[in-house]
Amino acid sequence: MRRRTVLAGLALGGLTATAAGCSRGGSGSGGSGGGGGDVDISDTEMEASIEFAAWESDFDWESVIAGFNEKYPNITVEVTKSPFKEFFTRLQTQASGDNLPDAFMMNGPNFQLYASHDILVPFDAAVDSGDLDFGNYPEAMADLYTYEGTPYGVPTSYDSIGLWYNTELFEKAGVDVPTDDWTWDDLHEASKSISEALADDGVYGFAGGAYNQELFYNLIFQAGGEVLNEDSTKAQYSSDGSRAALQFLRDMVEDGSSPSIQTTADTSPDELFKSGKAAMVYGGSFRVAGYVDSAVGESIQVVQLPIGEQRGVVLHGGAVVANAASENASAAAAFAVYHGSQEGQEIIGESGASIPAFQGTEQAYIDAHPEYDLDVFPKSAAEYGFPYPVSANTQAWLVVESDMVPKILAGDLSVEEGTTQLDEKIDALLAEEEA
Amino acid sequence: MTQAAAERPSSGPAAGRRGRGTSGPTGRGGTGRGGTGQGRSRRAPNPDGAWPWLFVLPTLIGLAIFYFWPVIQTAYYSFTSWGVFGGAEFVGLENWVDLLQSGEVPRALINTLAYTAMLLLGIPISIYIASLLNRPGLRFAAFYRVLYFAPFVSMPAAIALVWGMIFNSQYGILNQFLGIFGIPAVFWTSTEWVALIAIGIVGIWSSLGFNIIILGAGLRSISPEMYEAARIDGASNWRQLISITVPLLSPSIFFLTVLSVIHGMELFDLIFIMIGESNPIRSDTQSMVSLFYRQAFISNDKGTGAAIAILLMLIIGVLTAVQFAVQRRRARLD
Repeated sequence: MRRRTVLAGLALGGLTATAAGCSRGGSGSGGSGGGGGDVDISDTEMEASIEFAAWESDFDWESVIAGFNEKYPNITVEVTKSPFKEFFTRLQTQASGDNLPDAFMMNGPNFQLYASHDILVPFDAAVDSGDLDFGNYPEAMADLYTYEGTPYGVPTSYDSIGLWYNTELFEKAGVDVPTDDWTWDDLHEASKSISEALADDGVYGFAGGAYNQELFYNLIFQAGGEVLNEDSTKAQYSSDGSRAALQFLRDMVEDGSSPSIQTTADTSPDELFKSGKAAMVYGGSFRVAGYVDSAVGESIQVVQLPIGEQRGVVLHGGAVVANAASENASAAAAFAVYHGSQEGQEIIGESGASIPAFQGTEQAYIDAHPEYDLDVFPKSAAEYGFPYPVSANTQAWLVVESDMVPKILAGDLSVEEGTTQLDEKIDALLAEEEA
Repeated sequence: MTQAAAERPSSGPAAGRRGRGTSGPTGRGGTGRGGTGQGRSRRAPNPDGAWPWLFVLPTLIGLAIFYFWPVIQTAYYSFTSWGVFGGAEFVGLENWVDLLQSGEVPRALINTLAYTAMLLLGIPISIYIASLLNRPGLRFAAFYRVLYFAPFVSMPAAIALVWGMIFNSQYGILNQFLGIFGIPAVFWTSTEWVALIAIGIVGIWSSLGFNIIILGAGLRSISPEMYEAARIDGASNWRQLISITVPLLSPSIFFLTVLSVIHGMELFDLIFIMIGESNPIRSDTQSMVSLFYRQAFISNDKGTGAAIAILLMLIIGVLTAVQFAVQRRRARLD
């Protein structure tokens, strides 16, 4: 029943605000003077004890730390974990109290909030010294963690999106299965044929819905549109490409290729797909574990997303950042840089749950499920990944987006009218960020 | 003996306010008189000096620190603009003006009031069920009471999840049941207004248990002779309910009305769980508290959040004051 997008968790964040407010003080942090300017990670003999805050995940941080300690033997890293839902609420409380951990995990929607408040250690020194090379990561991930030209985060892993399909349902409907070269028209046509052929079983060709990262952001980029402009000061939902993308999804709902938005509000697209009620779905690389255990696990496969005006896929993933105010900022930065090195990333990849950001270390993720062509995820990420759109206060306008887009896709608002309203409302919020 | 013991819960906080004048089965008249008399004597100078204050001081300090002070602070914050990482800056009425201009508040208020009205509907239903459970000689009465009380002790989040499955348009049991009679599938949680009714149904269902316990205690304090006398005079069951049960239950009913209104105005968890992401009616189905949550914790606008919280507190205060005024007037009229 739980609808799981990467972002849904974020939205739930605030519930435990008070609970998180009164917890622990960090080990070595708490300094208020900014020491971020003179961070130097070159001294591998430096002595420090740092706290690293992570949200609960499958990553094997203990092994990463063991590897880190081979290089920096005198730095003790203590990991504190909290559930993802509480992670950013807790972080925000700690930031308000000048009590942030020395190093912590970060995600896209929250990144600029911290980067713009001079809380994070800039990594340009590490880039200059050659310890860190953003060329190793998908370009979109480097973009995501760069604020006003300066990198403030070392990518950990990322999620990419692919077109998952159910071979059994395709066979039953007598339709040819998708290929990597499919276009939007192919997708629409096949969806319509399947919906019509299998109407009696209540099967839809395509499970659309209204997710952003897994669905319409991809289409917007494929249509040559944008969500925000280059410097995140204006919303671009009413750009031609964005409108074309939403119109495409609206058309799919209207002719029954895809279920109504009310249906997907009750039963999420991936649930429809997992229960064999939909032949195709746009699913993230993080869905694999859920799909493989589902009723359709044996009869599904994944290909690259269909092509619009161009190819495109939205990339989002976590990073490790360092607290600029920490006395041990250098040690924290060293840890962040190490975790993003090839060595560190290979350990991260071992869990097989997520694609490590360092290109060439994905093999463990791909090999975890050889029955699926999981290499489409890193491949698409490297070739045509677009960064997940963020601004300084991403959450504020995501609320507006998640209120309005379902209305547009459901036809309660026309695409033209709806996107105009979206831009107006979000522009006002973005203007507040500037102020 | 049992009557006196059972009496107490029914005259709980509501009657307690009017002092110790509640005088058992004779009901309202006595209660009313006791109330006014008690009120007057309270204003007379206390012969014990400052001692009573000393005894309530521990509680008073706790209340002051954990209740009164935060309320005052929240009121102040409603006139400030918050940085994401703290630091409030005084902005005068800006939050309040924004709030009134946004158009979200009226809709949230209508939704909240509609939900509250539905919760009040639960009280007559509870009276009916409570009087059924209270019939002499009913078998398994204790079992039924536990059954009705179970929702009250269950986690609201779990309740919302389970009802979400029941209301599911695809595989929900409700639509399957209606399907037997050829009724087409209803989108319970994603159709405007219908979703509010669905949430109201869950709200009523969860409140029944508590209502029935309170009303049951009140019912047991009504003397069986009254019903006997009424039957001899030829009063029907319905007549007995209207002329004996309801008037004599009125302290309990009043108490439940006040609580239901406060509870209804604080609607949050059902909406939060039943109206999820990607739901086209999400913005039309916000309550005052869920609006507060969005402003304060998702949009990081704690100032406007504080303004909503204060507004909600004022509305609940006014509603409760009106309820007490009406009750006092009725008590005097009797």
